[in-house]
Amino acid sequence: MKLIYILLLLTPTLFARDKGQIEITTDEGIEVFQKEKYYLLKKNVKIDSDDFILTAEQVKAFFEKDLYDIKYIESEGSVKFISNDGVTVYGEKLTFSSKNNNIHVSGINSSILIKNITMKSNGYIKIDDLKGKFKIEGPDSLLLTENISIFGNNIEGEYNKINNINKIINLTVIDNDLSEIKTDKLQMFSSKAIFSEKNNLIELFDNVKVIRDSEIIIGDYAKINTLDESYKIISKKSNKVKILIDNNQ
Amino acid sequence: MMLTIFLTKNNQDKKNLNLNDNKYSYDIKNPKFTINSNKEKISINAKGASFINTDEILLEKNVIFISDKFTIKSQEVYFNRKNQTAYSKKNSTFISNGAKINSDGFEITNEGNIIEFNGKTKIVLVK
Repeated sequence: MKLIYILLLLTPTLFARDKGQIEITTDEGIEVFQKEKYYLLKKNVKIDSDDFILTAEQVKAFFEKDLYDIKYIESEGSVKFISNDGVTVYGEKLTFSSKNNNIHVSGINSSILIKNITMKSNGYIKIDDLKGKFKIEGPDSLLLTENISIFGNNIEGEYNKINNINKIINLTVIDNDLSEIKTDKLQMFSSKAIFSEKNNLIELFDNVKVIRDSEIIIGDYAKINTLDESYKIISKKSNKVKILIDNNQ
Repeated sequence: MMLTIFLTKNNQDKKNLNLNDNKYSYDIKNPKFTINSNKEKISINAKGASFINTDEILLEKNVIFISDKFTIKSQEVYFNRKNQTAYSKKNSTFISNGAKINSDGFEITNEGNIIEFNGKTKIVLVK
């Protein structure tokens, strides 16, 4: 009994991956294409390295000189990717470039979590982590941070890493129907929205609707100061801004 | 004296041919083959080999494939001389510069360009 207990304690140590090693397991093997410099990992694949852990149904890994030098990964089927610098990705298909940390995930319920930023889409999400650029496109796309929620078919922008926290510095949201930006105090709808952190400004274009408490303002263009959340709405086409006040709220 | 040595050697060869194992007898003892591709040469060694048909040979015990880039070890490998292909359904170990692969078998095709490892496979890559 004592021996079994000791063996159980030792088991994780015996099978642990050493630092610097990449450990790959598959249920249905691997095909190595030496001339083309890639290998195909089949069924229930797990890649465990110092930099990331990837699980998927199938993985195609392109290498530089030998199998260790993975430069690019294409994976599909219930993909989960966790990097050691705080990026978690879920999706149906994922490509990852280890050279420039580019991530592209696509399919239903795709998501990328970069520390305090959450991105989701039923289309695709693309991230260039070195340049701090991202693009989310497709149905039900959204971006969430601690204080702002953004919904739209096409969300594109840039982020900065300051003290291990990611901060959105600019973004553009476009939706053929209506995009939505939600803060603690405001709910904003428009066909297109542009946010600039540098100018503390959100601009809304076309089919603009801003809701604050019981106040609803409709127009063609709006400027919102993100510091005090004050706003100015104009209507270019009709020269009229419509204000609705709901007393029931 | 010379005759004794000859007879002893001859008996030893016979024993070696059976490899001290009553179950096995081989058509070729310590066979050596080579798969030649444009860029690569793969040498194959084993303890014994038996002809399955004109082209196919079963290599058995301590089968080793060696090229400049890798080594594969297995206990049983089928080698096709005509197509220059090889496969195994037994546990196999692949070792190359910085890589060790354990699998339930393998297949080498396309003049050694494609190596497939079958079944549950574990790969350890070291820089």
